[in-house]
Amino acid sequence: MAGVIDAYLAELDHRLAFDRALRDRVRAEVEDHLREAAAAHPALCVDEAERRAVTRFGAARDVAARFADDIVAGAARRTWLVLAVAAASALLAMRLRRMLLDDAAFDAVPLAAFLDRFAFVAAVVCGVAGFFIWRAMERRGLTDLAHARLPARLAVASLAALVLSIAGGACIAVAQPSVPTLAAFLLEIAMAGWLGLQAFALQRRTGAALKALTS
Amino acid sequence: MLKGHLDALVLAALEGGGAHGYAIIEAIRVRSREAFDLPEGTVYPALHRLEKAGLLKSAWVVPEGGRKRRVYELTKKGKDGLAERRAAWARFAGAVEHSLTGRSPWPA
Repeated sequence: MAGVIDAYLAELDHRLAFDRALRDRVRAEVEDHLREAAAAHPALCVDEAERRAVTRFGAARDVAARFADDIVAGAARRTWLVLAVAAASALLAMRLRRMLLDDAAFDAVPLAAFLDRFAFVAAVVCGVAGFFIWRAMERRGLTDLAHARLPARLAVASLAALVLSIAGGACIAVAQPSVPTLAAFLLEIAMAGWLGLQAFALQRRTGAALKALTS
Repeated sequence: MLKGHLDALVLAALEGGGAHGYAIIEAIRVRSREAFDLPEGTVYPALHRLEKAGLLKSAWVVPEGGRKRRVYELTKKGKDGLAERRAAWARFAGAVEHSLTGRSPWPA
């Protein structure tokens, strides 16, 4: 029959399943801690000493939730940084198109020109709003999974608008192909791809953490 | 109430030298004269967070005849961070003291 500490470690393993490297390290540290804490009560029977050690440590779900909050906060910080770089790249590409192409190029594809400009504005508005809301929450220590929803939705909206803007830029670049406009377009695509991968990783990690914590 | 100060307490507990998680929790308990009896599991996420921020470094150590354990130490950035947190705490505690009692903690 598994001891109290073994059962606790098995639950912690399950709750930290969203990050294998973290789980292995935390498990080893927590096991060392609990064995030492249990050994500090030599007068008690093994089960009782282990039960006390586990009770003092706190519920496995709460411990895992704290790790999950920190990991999601770190991933969110990276996502904002990537979003800012992607938006700056899109702006640079947009400026290049305006400098290199004449007005007729934009008039030829009016919807694309509209998206290129106004979807970018929408991306910046959503991104800036989401970032400042997240910063305000971070200052108040509210970066846990439950409070991350609104800024995460704004980041997704910003990403979607940025993709629309890049699609508009792509139509213009394809309609008036030249080396600089195509290069600018490729830069935008690369940045959007990077941002998409980052957003996907954040979403996957957040989803896995929520699943492990609530199951 | 302790949540916002846990990082500072952990840094202060490591001021005297490297220690593993269990010893850090014991140090916090002793230094606070048993006033801070934390759920022990709260300290490990703080240790990982501080290490990620570069304030701590850690390594696995196997003492002779003992269990493998992870020992944490303050980095230079961690020592500076502790000094900053101490100064911020002194300002905050002084302001609260003055607000509550009307007495200034600072010499006139």
